Amino acid sequence: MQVTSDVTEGVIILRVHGSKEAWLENFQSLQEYTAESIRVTGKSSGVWILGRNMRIEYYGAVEMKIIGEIQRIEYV
Amino acid sequence: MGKLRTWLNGYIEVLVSGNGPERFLSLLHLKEIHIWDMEPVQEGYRFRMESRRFRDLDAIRKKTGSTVEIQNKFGLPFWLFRYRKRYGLVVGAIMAGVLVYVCSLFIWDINVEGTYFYTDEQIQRRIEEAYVSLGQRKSQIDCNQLEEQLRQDFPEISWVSCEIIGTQLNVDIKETLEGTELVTVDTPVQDIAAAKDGIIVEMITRSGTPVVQVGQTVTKGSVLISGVVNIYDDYDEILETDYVAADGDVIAETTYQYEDTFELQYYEKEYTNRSQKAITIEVGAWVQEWHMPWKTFTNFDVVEENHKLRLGQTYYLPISFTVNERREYNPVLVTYTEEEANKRAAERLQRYIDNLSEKEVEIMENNVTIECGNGVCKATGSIVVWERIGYGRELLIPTEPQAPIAE
Repeated sequence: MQVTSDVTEGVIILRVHGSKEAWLENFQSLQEYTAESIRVTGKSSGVWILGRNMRIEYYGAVEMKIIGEIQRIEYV
Repeated sequence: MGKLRTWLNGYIEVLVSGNGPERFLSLLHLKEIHIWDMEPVQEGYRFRMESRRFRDLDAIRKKTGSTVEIQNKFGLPFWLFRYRKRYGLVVGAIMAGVLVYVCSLFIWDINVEGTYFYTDEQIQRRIEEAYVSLGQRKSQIDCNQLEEQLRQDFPEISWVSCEIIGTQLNVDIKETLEGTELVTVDTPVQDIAAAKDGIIVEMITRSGTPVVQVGQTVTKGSVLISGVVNIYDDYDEILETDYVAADGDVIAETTYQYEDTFELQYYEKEYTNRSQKAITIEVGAWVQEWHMPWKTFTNFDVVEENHKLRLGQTYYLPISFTVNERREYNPVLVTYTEEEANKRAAERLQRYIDNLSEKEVEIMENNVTIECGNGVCKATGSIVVWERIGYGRELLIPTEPQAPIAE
């Protein structure tokens, strides 16, 4: 049985629907949050989402949802 | 539901500012405090959270040196607190709650579905007149008994289910055709008799003695399967006679005579776009109609739309309003062309055949001809079908003469 890396290494799970919605799981902290840039770090890596009019719709213990116009996603 | 629960529990809008509000947010995540509608503002971040978790922010605030400020409060607890001195409003809200609860204890709507032979209104009227009136307490209604009574009142009903959802009584019905009723252990002894004339084409006997056979012509009322079962001995003499509830499927070829006539000239409605509306409000048994003085229309249609007020899908309230609209029209005399008349007659015949087909009747031959002339269109002929013709007819068991008691 193969165990996925989100369990073994705690990497961030990123799910994007089109360019308007994104869900993030397994994150540890929020480094930056503006309407143009959201930077999130996980256990071993991070994700940098760039766009316009972005907003965090909810931010919970398990996941967060980002809405707005997502233009670029970078892994840092 | 989640939103409603949040509103009932109360939630607040919080502004976090000061040193490193991002760290504050990360600690929120660590402490599993759910926040939503978060947006960056000049001073820091603004978000919404459940008011009951607000005390948990205290430790995070001290740890990060941030400033936390409540900017808005939402939800029921804050609403009640805000209006705590407005006694009338609070009493009104409590009374409204009690009224909604009290109304939920009664039946305010009866919904009938699945009828074919009977109409929904027919069954609904019977229920309202004899068993369940609108406004009756739900606890007084015995659904099992109601199902039994409906089966007795409407013999074509083969299956009925009653269910109370919210303030609505739902009655779901399945109807049967003659000869297809189920025979159970409770069925009294019976013969299967012919409901109409025909020629037997298929026959399956499940219990009883078959009296006719395939190919035989039968007349209405004749016995097809007898409930009398004779047991013979080796000399072909009756040893014993049993009486059973005869059961079986008897399919016969029958003929329907079809005749449909309509005149080629008819009146068509040409609407004048003049109309007038009236509104009727019903609260329980109280009815009030409002309208301006009626305009004088020589010919008009009345279109009635009834709306029952309800909360959600099934919580019907004893309040309804009806909009009556009178639409004026001028009757214009029109004549069908031969093609139109033929088409109309064919459509009416097809509707008749479709109705027969819905009764599990198989159409074998269609000998209907359409003729138009002398201002009349006439469709006549016969339709040959295969259908079930057997129905259960009570069997009277002959009483045996008692032997005289020997002295």
